[in-house]
Amino acid sequence: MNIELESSQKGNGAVTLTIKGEIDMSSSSKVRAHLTDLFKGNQSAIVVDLSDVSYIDSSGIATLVEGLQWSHTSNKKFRLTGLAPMVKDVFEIARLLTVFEVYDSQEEALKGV
Amino acid sequence: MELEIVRRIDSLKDIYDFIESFFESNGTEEPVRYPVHFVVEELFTNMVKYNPGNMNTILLDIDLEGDGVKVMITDYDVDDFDVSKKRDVDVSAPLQERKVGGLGLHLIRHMVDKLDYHYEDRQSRITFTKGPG
Repeated sequence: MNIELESSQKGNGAVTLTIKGEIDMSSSSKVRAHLTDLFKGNQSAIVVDLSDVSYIDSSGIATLVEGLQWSHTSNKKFRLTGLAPMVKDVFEIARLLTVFEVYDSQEEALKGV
Repeated sequence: MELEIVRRIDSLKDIYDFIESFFESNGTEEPVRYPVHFVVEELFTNMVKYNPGNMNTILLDIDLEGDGVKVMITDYDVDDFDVSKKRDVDVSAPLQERKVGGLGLHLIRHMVDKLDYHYEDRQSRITFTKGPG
């Protein structure tokens, strides 16, 4: 499956990771590699924008859970934004909506980081 | 409508295209589409992951059933593993205690209307239905 990842430094010490496409078994390793690099950086917050993610499977969710766990050990903020309704449903069934910090837009997610 | 799938992760694209083509031909509604894609891909991924040395293809069969669809996935020369059996996945545990393994099966059970498993002569057959309701 095709997936595009683009990270962008923000002035407030945050970085956004915009993901486009489908996060499944064949592409989640790319997301994981990108997150690994971002957590090695000096940013205080990582905002993952999923607005253009049409599909996520359990390996994709596992990757994001891993990112959240890294954020706790590295003392960085880790936020999600732009979850499409069907993607949100998957998070809800896994009861992860209350575990992640989820925002409707990048602007909101970048506030107070 | 049937598809014989080569047992490798690269086949996910063929699976996606096959199911999407079925949905397009039948005007399947969105509330059915996502869960069916999700469940088929999760099950197929598990079949590849847990039987990497098995050279047999996997058979995917999808048909209309009422307003929704019925999907059957048959795997050959495999050990018995009942995916319909409820397993302990504590989705209410704190993050640090969460185990990601088993999450896929938990999601599958909550996304389909009916999930059946049949095993005989080292052949497994998983059948599930999903309607728009």
